[in-house]
Amino acid sequence: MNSVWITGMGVISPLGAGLEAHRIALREASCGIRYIRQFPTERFPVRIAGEVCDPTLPHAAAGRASVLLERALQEAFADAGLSLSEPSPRRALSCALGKQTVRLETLAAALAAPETDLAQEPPRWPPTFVRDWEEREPARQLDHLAGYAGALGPAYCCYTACASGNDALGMGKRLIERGEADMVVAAAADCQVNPLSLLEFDLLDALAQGEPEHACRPFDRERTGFVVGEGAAVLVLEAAEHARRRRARARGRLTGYGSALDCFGLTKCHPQGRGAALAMAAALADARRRPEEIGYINAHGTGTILNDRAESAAITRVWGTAGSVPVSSTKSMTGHLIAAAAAVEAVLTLLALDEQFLPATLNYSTPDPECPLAVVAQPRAARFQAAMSNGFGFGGQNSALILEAPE
Amino acid sequence: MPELRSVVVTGRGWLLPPGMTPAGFEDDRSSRAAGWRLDSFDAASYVGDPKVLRAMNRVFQIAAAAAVLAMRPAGLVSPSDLERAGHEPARCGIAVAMTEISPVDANLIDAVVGIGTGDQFDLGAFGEAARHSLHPFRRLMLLANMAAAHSSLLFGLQGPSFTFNSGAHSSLQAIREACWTIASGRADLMLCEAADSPENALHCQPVTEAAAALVLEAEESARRRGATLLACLQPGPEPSAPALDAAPAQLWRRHAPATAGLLAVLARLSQTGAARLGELPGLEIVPCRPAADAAPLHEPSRASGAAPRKSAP
Repeated sequence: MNSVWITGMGVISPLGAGLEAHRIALREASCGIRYIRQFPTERFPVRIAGEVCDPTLPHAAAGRASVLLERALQEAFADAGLSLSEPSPRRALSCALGKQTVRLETLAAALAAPETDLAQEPPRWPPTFVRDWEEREPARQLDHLAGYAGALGPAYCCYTACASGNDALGMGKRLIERGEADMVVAAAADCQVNPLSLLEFDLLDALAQGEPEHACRPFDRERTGFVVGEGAAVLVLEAAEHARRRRARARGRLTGYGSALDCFGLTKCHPQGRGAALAMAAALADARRRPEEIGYINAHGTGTILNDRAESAAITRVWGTAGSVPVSSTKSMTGHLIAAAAAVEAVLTLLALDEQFLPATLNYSTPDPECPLAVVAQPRAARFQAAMSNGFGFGGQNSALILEAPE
Repeated sequence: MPELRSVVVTGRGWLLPPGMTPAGFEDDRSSRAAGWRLDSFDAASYVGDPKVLRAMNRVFQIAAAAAVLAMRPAGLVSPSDLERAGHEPARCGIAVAMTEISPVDANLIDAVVGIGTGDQFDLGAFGEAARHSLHPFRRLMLLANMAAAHSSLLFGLQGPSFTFNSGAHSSLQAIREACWTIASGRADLMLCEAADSPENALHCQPVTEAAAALVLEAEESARRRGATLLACLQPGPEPSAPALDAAPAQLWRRHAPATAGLLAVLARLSQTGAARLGELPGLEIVPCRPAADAAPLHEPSRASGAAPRKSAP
């Protein structure tokens, strides 16, 4: 079975644009969560988010995620020593693209347009309104991205809510292991920092309250919820043999992937983290690693009461004892990037492996006895060769990756 | 060389508009003559719990109904059936194909109209009113992976779960990934399901309501529990996007993109008596052999790009 190297990475998140910006932000334990600037929030119940601060970016409903993806892709290809202008049939694409949204002002205008007739079956909308929607559909974005990345091989688009990024990476791993591709461009992007999406998350009573820098407090006893973020990450996965042949440098290795369902509820995770534990165990088995060989876990760690408790129970269950492995949640710095979260966190985990240090969990000041983990509150040096990165989603969707240092 | 397990189909189900069958999907005239909507569909006859039904939009309801139809002949209609059949829930998963679900539904339209359309719309006022005007769980009705969540709860599935929204390639990808998951020993059973409904789309794609499901199992466990084996599935290398675009399910891709690949498999399963039921891109469907002949598969050779074949008995 082919082993899978990561030979290129690109990332853009509330912490900044590019690997170097993220390396510094992790070292300095920076926070990318701020008051929202994209639209006025005075009368909104949600005022904070992890925004990518760039006023030139378009609205979420007008291709913001595509722009972020292209930027991350350019960096990943440069990092991997690849050219975007050289397509290959042995290059595949495995994507996680965030849920499409609609601009409310545009919808209000469409509803007033003379062409609109909702009594028809199917309803009639102004052609431009429909065309804008179609152009941003995942299948269209997938085609566009495949063309942009020169990926003439298979093209997957995975959507498993907040676990999507891990599943896109996991599918890419499988394609290489089975010999169906020499290289997989694993890409994820999501821009849910928009009025409609934020209101929908608010209705689920899952969002954190408080001042931006202190609102997201994973595993802390005073945590109140998660903060929505936005961003994109691209990882170039490559068959080790192929990478060696072209003398590519390994950023790390993707050695394990596991997926499992909670089978408990639509919004609430299993209180003992049943599916999360199954996914972690499956990832460890896939990597042929024992829990004690894992030196760090980048937790899903959203900062919601139930999720953090369930993840703690799952880690304790898999490891056998509480607090035996260092755990942090980088969502405390970036916010929750939803479909892009796990891919961005895979990049952050690989940077931590490269730098041999453990990223911080911001705002972790009062341990929660119901989360008996060895939570890393401040960044610190550590020696480790293998790490786990978790991604769990609504609907009881769980996935985990094992990432390792280059051989 | 690691051995791959043989994968069999033990259940199938579908819902199509009146006048349409899976086998008719490649016939342009048949599809034109058929209706486009599941007019007589009654979700309550498939999913008994009204509370669960209220959390499902139309596309999830028809997906769940197709899954129920497929799990019935497999004898696995509830979580307790799964365990009675000797299946470990953590080794039973799901692979789903879905198209993007539009957020522009009746609830959102009413909420916007309540504030004012055209130039009258006030974003701040909408933000203030949203808590009262938007459905509290509307987010969950828009996420494609909720079909997997519903089926997981209906049948007690706790294993691997994948949802693809790669357009018209989605359901063949879902079936192939489910096959590989079983063949490589990561699961013993995978439920594959797909659905399309114009009610949950913003535009004219899909144009037809359709839902389909297959139950795939490891041959050894299916035989052990005495299940009826409908066919063997052999996953080959994932085809490129152009190869998939040239595949036979073209017509249905225009009508019901997410379901097209599953319907193509169902059409081939209905061709009884054929020695070789047919190939689809990246997937071969063959009749099941008598139990004595059953033998493990070998890993495919990357160099040859061949689909895994059974070794000589």
